[in-house]
Amino acid sequence: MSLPLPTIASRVMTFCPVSFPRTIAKLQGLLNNQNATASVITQLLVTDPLLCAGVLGQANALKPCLSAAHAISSLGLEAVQGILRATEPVPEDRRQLLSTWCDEANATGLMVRILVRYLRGRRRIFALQNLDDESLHLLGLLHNLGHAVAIVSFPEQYRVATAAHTLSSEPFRQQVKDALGLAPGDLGYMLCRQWRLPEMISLTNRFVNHPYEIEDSEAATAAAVVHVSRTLVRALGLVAGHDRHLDPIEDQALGLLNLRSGECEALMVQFLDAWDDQEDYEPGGGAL
Amino acid sequence: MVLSRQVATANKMVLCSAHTVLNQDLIDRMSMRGIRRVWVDGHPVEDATGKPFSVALAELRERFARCKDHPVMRDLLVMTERVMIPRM
Repeated sequence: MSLPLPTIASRVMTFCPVSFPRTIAKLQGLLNNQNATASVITQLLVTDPLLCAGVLGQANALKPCLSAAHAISSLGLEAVQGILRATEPVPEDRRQLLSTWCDEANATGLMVRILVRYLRGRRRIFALQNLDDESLHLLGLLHNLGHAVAIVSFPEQYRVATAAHTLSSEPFRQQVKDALGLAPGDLGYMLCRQWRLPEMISLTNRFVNHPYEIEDSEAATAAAVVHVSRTLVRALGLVAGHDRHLDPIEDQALGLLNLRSGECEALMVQFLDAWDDQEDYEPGGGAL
Repeated sequence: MVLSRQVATANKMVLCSAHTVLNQDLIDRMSMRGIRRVWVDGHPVEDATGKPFSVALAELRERFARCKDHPVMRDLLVMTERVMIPRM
């Protein structure tokens, strides 16, 4: 039994950022310490998708912004403190699920950086030229916000979708749509609009599974990059919550990027080396 | 815990020498400087979440179970196995 759209919309409108107690404490410690530099604060912020989305949205509402570092400098640390004060700890029974979602988001961010560097080096894409590594990371990090909203704000419907998914061959997003009334992509899009996130991130949330439906070529390329990156990290086992089965990679997405499927192996090797070696994120239990 | 290597910032400024005994104060100070990882003496604790090879392989194949008829995904499964099996 799905929920009426106004009920879903009201929960999304009142959705506050949630984070892991350890991240909240670390960020609070950094913000209270006058010796902590803005770059150290940014490094931590860009590992936490919902907190990062909250900060980015507030900055983007004032002036177009697709960078956490720019968002912090334009808002000021006081505003970041305010967002942190409004952030609630993730309920204990949902921490494990949200931790896997957080891993998938961070892994997708890393893979987006690797994939775009690879494509740029071979002159395969000419879109996204204005995006630096951090903005590319945010594209991947914030691509699936609806899944987190479903876990945190609609736990009952999420449980129903999980149970149905084990018995059906439909994609998990379809099970969420049947149980809740909206697919995670639409839920994420609704949150992006509510939080005033950049259009490119909003469109990626909505169209990540079918990027070729976006008319704007820059945004379509961004969504195609995230689509391919997400599929590759999920193939490697970084799957969010109960969404464990892979959907086929879209041929049109590969076509948009001029990428051959045979090239994915080298990208996965690069990713695993970088994932094991990264300094700024502790996968899995590190977020708890 | 004792540092097995010196800790330095990105611009090569040494914050702690090797063989320093770590305490909470030092850890906090290094965190403020953006240090996320350090080398310590001793052997790694076995990963409590480490899965046996057979389980990890079964999970990998299960992830692809619903799209194994898709030609690109069939290739991707072969590539993923080549990449992951040596690391399992």
